[in-house]
Amino acid sequence: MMRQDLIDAFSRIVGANHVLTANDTLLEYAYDKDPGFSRLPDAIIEPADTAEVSRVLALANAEKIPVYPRGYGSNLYNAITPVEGGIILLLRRMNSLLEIDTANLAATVEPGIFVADLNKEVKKFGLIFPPDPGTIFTATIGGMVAQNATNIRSLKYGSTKHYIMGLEVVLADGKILKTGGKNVKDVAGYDLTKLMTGSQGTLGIITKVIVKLMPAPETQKCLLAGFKNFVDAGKAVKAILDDKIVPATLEFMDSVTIQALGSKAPSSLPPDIKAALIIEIDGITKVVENDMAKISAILQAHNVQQVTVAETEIEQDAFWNARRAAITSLAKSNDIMWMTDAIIPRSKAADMVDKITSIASKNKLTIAAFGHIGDGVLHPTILFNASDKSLISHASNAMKEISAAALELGGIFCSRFQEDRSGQPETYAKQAIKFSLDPNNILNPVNRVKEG
Amino acid sequence: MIKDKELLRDINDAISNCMKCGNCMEVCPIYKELKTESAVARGKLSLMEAVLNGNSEITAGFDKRMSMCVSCKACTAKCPCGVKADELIIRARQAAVSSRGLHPVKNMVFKLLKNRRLFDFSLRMAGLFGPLSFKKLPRPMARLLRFPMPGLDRRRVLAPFAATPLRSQYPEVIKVDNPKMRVGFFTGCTINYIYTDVGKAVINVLKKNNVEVVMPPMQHCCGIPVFTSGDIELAKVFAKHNIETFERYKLDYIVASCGSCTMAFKKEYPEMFHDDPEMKERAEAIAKKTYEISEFLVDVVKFDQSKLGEVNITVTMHDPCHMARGIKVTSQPREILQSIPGLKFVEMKDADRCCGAGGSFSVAHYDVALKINNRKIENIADTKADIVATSCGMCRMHIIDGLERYKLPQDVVHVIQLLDKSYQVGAETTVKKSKVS
Repeated sequence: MMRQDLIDAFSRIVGANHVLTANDTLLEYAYDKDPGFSRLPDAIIEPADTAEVSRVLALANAEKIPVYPRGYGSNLYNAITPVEGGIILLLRRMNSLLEIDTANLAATVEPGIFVADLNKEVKKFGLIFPPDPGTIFTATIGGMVAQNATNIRSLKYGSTKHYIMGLEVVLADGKILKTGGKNVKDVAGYDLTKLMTGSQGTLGIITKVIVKLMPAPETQKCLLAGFKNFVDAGKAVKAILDDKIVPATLEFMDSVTIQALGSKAPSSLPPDIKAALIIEIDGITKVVENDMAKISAILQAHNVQQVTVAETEIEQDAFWNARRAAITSLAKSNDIMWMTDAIIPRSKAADMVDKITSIASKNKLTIAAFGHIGDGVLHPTILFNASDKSLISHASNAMKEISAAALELGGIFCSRFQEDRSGQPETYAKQAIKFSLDPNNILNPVNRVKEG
Repeated sequence: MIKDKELLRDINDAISNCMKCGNCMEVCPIYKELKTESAVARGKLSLMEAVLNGNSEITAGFDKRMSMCVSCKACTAKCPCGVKADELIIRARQAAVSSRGLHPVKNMVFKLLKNRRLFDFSLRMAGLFGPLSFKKLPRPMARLLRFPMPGLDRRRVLAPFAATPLRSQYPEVIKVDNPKMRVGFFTGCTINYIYTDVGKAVINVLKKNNVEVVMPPMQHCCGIPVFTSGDIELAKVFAKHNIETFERYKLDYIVASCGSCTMAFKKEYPEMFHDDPEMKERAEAIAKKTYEISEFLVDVVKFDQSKLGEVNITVTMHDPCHMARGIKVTSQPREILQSIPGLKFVEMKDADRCCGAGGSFSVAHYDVALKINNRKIENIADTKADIVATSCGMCRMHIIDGLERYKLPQDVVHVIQLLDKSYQVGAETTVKKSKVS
């Protein structure tokens, strides 16, 4: 419950109808996409502009009230659940497209705009904002920046941070910081734009974003390839990249994932398929055709069982819908799902899948593997039944082994079951930054930064 | 409250399947306009969950939030976890009715609806005195209210009540010379009292295909409006009445020309009686015989295409929610349209997206219904079609309202009206030809 005098004070800033405290409403903002975490906020505040955000933060800071920025809550990893109570700062009203600057290939937007809506507008000028987190209709730019969202086109186009040229950020005490700008070279000294990108709402509230745009590709082709075993699929990926072909996307699904998809699996996949790749190429028509021919030859050389090229947008959507349904389908068919990120050098992706398979059989567990294999991003996902308690220790063991395997192959490993990294230099630096900028620890005060 | 908790107990498992991914946000027509969590399935399910966990009660706020749903089933079709959110929202409304009672306006309307004879009498009177209360618009079947009426927005373009209801214009049994089958026609309220033109077209087309038509005079509202409002007990009364009414006749099939009415017979009746084996069996026997008219003509009758005449117009089609996701009949109406010589068919963008009517939703939430409708109208305008074909009276009325607001010339008709037209042209051409020879 929030004190009435505070509710009144916030109401004077944003208007009484933009401070929501009804229990029914609070219940609807107590979660994000990560199952299992839920906590009621004390109030939901919807500011209209930067000035209002600044005044809300100044007051919250003075009163030491936690603040959690939120767009539409399609993120994973419990990033915006109000775990310590406080204010949810809902940025849905700040959703304007402020400027498209075609000459400088840049657009200035407010954080609450949907990625799909930005793309719809810039498309009119033959431009695209390439990062596609897979949920473009519900993901906002603010959320993508805050999470430095990875995306299904990052193999060719890089991740969100490569497209953020400048930001306006309101700091914990209400100061308005401007970083970067439309100039290609726009920084001397610390790159604060990069620091804020991926800061997950712990360093400030993003109120404006200058994004970099790219000319839209002339042609786009998408294919789905099915293999009898993942080794062939992994080798094919390596061969494609070795041949200096850079697809926009190169996605992988193993047999556990394909089975979990059930009726959502693309109908063109034969039932005995053990691994599938979705490959999308875009660019100049001639180059795309040339690359497609080369890829087809490579797939054939690696015992591909089935290749389906999408002829229409609807067919292409069917491939993508399958890939996008992977997480939710796995969650549906299993009691407990521990999803992780194992990021390895792309050349070692096939080795990683191999290791995951042996870790699964050693620990008598089912582990699904899918992800942006072209970038070396895999999501080993441990699945088990809650009723068998012995499996929890098996699963924890498997988690450690996957982590070790990723590090051994020169990669990194993330999950919400982080190892204790306190005392490490990286943690020291992160904490120094966090607590200099937010001494009262009001901004998204999840233990994330404390633990590194 | 313990009582509120118990009211939702049976859907506990179904609700826990929702993983809050928010994919429903992508397709929900109301969410697109309001962008609040309570507009979309995820938010509503979390509220039900809170009631189940004892963290909240069934309050006026709960009722209000559950009422913000057009029952278009788009979330259910999209959900990767297979959560049937549309059904759960109706269950939540049922719990709300048990806990807090019906909304007073709905209570009044349903009382009238419950009394079949009084309901029939009122709508006949509305037909007779319609010209007094409605202002004519240049477009056919479009009227504006002359005086304020409770629950109706005066900006809204409505349709006139028929001076004589459809079922009073025909005998109970409409005979043909060489009947190849005998079907019962469930007219539904909009076609009996308002859009009699659709009913006439259905009868003409069935006759053309040597089908004997029976229109049981005792039939009553299918019950869907009552069912979706959460009054399950009253919905069962309607269901039982209609099942008994149609059981009295010897019929090969039952047809309806409205997606929602068909859905009631085919899907909702058997489910309503899930805990009553005897009624369930009877409901299932009726369900098995029931078809939507386009589905019936294409899949069962294999309608006669040799007598069709040229209809030179460009037509686009709106798939009503209960056609597209309720009974999944989308290819058959297209097949009918494309069989008509001279007719040019163009698809509109998002043809199966809700038009915003949502039965009584557009009465209670007219402003939101208009916003949803605007997107539909813009998609229609882009096709440059002369006519919009659809298979639902409520969609027809709501889309005409939108077209009138946008000052667009298109009319909206039922798919079967175009088929009827083509048969008529075919007959005239044959007459002309025979005269020449």
